[in-house]
Amino acid sequence: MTTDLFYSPVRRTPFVRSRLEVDVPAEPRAVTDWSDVTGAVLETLEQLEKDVRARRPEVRAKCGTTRGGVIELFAYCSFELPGAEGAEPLVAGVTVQRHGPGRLSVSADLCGDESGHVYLEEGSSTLDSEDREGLVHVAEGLAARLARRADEVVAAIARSVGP
Amino acid sequence: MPPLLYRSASGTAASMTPRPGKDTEGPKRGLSFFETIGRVPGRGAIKVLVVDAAKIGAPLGTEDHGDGHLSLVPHTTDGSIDDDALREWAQARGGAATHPLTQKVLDAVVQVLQKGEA
Repeated sequence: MTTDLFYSPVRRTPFVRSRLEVDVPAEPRAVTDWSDVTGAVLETLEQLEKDVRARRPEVRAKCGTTRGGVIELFAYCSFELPGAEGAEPLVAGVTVQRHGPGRLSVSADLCGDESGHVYLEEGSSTLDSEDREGLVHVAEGLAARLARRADEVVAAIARSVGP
Repeated sequence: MPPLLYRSASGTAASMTPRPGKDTEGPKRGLSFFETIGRVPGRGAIKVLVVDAAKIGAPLGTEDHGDGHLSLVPHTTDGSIDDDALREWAQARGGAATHPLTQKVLDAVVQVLQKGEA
């Protein structure tokens, strides 16, 4: 999903600037750059990765993002035990979902990559997409709550492998 | 074809990409979806991605297995399953870049839901 914006060249003259200031009403800007939220979430989940690997060094971790449709951003770290036959990776992530113009929800969970089985939920918040600082704050806060659950993540990895 | 398709998945690119072998062979090959959320397998709380079939478009199409289970597969121009394209898609699973067909499916996501209680 990409957004391309094209602007016609505008001569920088006081006349044009005053016309823009006076005639063009302030419109909500569509959020197209998610690097601040991505950075905040992945930086926070890095701590979870460190804590999980401190407990189980053999666990393989991979962090990344996806986007598409109403999923404005899914930033995650997945955890997998190499060689565990039939075990799926477990994914700790923060989802920013669009619910309409100017309305987003942010949620965090730990779930099975394929099964979708939810092992942990860290709540969900709905907020105004224009409140960029609030969005970063909420996403980072939910990621931080996930990051404090290393023991539960390790236990879930063990459960997903079975006896 | 039902307008909305349901699939359990975390939301990673891998979770929306067919698995080599398991999803590239047999009569029900392809990326599995279900026509209602109730048919999505699993107990307890399950994260479900809802896809609008109308937003997906060629070359992807559905194969209906008649039991509420559908597979999303690439089709050739004559409407048959393009197994070469399906295998190539599956081989990209877990790679560094998101495969264009995976991105096509992700772009058609209209809702992220949870089935059941945690």
